[in-house]
Amino acid sequence: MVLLLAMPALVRAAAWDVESRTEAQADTIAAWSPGSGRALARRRLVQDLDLAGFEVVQGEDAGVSLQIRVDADFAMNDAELGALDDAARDRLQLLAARFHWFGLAAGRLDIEAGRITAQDAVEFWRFDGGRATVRPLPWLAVSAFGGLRVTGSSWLGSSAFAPDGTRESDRRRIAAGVPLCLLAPTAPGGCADATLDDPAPAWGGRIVVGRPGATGAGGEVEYRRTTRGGALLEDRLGAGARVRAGAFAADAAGELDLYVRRLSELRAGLRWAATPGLALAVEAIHSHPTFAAGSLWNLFDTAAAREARLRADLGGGSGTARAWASAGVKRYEATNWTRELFGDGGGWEPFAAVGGSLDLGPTRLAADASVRAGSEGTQGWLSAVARQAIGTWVGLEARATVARMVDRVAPKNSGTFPALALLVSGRLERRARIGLLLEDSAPRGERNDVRLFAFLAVGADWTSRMAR
Amino acid sequence: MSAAATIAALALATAAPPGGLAPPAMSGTAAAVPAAAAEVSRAVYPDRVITIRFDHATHLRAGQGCERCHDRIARSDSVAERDVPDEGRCTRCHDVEGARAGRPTFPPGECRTCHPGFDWTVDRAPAASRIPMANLIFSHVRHRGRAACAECHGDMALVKTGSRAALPAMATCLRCHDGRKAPASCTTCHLRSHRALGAPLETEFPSGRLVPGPGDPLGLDHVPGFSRTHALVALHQREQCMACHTEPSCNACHAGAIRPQAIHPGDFLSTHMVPARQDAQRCAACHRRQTFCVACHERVGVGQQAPGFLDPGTKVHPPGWMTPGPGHHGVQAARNLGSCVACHREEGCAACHPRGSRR
Repeated sequence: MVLLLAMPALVRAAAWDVESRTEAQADTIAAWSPGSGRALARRRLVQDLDLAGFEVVQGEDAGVSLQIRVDADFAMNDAELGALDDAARDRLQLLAARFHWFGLAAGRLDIEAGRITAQDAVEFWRFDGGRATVRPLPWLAVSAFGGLRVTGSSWLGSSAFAPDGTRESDRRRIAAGVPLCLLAPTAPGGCADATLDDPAPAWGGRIVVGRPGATGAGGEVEYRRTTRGGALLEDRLGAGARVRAGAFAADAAGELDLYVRRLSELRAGLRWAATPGLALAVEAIHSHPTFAAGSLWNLFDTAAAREARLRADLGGGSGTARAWASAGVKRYEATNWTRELFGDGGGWEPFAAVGGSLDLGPTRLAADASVRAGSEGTQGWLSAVARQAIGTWVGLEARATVARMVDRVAPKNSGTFPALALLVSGRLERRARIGLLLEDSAPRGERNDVRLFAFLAVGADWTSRMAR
Repeated sequence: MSAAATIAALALATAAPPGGLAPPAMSGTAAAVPAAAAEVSRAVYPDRVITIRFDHATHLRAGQGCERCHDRIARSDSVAERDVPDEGRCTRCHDVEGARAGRPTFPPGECRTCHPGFDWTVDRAPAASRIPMANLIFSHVRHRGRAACAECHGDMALVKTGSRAALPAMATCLRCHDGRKAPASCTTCHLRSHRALGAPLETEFPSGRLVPGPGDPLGLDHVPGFSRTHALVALHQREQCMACHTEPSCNACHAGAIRPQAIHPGDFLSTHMVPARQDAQRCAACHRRQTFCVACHERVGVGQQAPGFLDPGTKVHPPGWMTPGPGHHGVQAARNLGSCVACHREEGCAACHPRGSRR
């Protein structure tokens, strides 16, 4: 990236875009146990800086993008930082630093390098490395990629898209004297894994069939393998397909965890724009989560959960009124052993929701209600929002929410939770916006339930091109 | 990601229940209600103020073809060349001077025929119409000979004044722009935010925000609550998403630092427990449980492995959690292990379940 920025050609990019976003939060969350005297105070300031350069080579789709985040929590003291894993890791993050040059070799080759956020069939992941895509035919793209998987222990890393199921790092526990797993794998109280901080080489490929963005059919297959400390971290095969035909749009995507040898996720959806004012959608999800290959959680015998949902969207011809309704059910399967030992027959979780919105120009109103029940508990929501624009520069928004929770897994979480929020947002100029949000909810235990959020976004862009 | 989009992403929406279905964020001064593909987008075609009285049907019945009044349209190469007929073209047939002189005219030449309420003896000029330029790239020249006027504008014999309703909706364009008959890339018609290759589309206009609506032929409809239902579309249509969104805009939520207001409704910290278990796979799209969830849980005193954090005698789970029966924790773990991983560390389970144990 430094080399790229030093290249004189970049200075002559056709366009640049810079944006700075500041988010601030102040509130306090009560300790889970009343009377404990502990509370989780939040005094956070998060600063994002995004930079993008377009057409850094004249006449070519070549560009750079950079995203840096600084996250400071002034309410977290050193004692807390020292006692918790991972808490200090996200202070400075390099979320993206990418150079791309698309359309090389007469439009048949795309290359990217840097810190890349990629997407496979079902999830995001991020790596430091390169990716090349060849398009031998207009409807065929073949990609290969390789680099180091970004985790919380990477250089300026982020844990956001890292494989789950293990700590990000055992550095704190090793310093505290927890024995290494290499030496004492069965130590009482657990052992520490020194390899969690090791680089995680990742490589794979992707084949995409179909014209992007066009109607018709398309599909993709992707393979990805990551190791760390010489051991497998993940080994996954994903696939997806889509069909666009007239008023119908169908999608399906799934991922096979080759380490656990199981379909970890499968989604399929169909949308039908029946009339200009009515759209129907159905979606089915099979979910059987897996974790990083070295995680203990993969050894547990678990069952899949399946979900189906139906949704209808209604709209007036003028586009000022919208209404929607949805309903569905989730099914938790039982495993052989839970069936034998506990007589578990699985569980059902029905849910339904309705809502609508009305756009009256400067005034907009929306409301919705939903309920979901089942073995995990029951949740009901009732919400309403009213917004008033004052001129083109200021917006006022008020929201009321009431949630009713019945928690069967942790009964103490049950209750009724009303909340009110007020937002004032304004546009200072074309690329400068500010927002202030005050949120209050009914007190629970000892907590202070007033929350304050502030947002500021300032951007600038310029182009070296003449106006069209 | 533009500043406007940033604030909109932070803006309030009504509660986003696990059904995944909340109305759209309503902040930002631009209109955010998506237009259906079959509707005429306000962002693309800003509202018009038309002060004249006019009837296309009457003129067509009188044998006037489109190019009789829109005689420069065949040479129009951009949306700036709209060829809205000026008074000079009307007065080719409407004898205004004759009417003012008191002569009988046909077609009628009186000012009030077209300008209701206008009295030339009193008023200086009739109220002006305002027909803003479309926020599109379009050339009538390139379409000439490939499509008749009615194919895009519909049957003008049913239309009075030329309102936005007579302008083609995106679904109309895509009849031909399918990637085969005509180019289907977004930038064929839509404006880039910057005049450079690779720049995303411009989505913020004074007249509204460009958002795909219900019935979008590509299945990109940003229906209410799309922030919670877009996974499948986003995974398969990333190229389409990236036409408007940039990588930082994905990170703003998926690698979000401060709670996105449009995703988590008010007081979500008090209420997230049941939704997090019932919709565990959705949480995993943004949150790594063994980092994000456990770190906070341990800090607030819920996480089992937090040294000395859990208060003595405090029970999180209901009676029967550790004894054989339908309330045993194994049932919950087998059904929804992800919810356990949000509070417990590996060694907490390994104390009783050594590696190699299948349950």
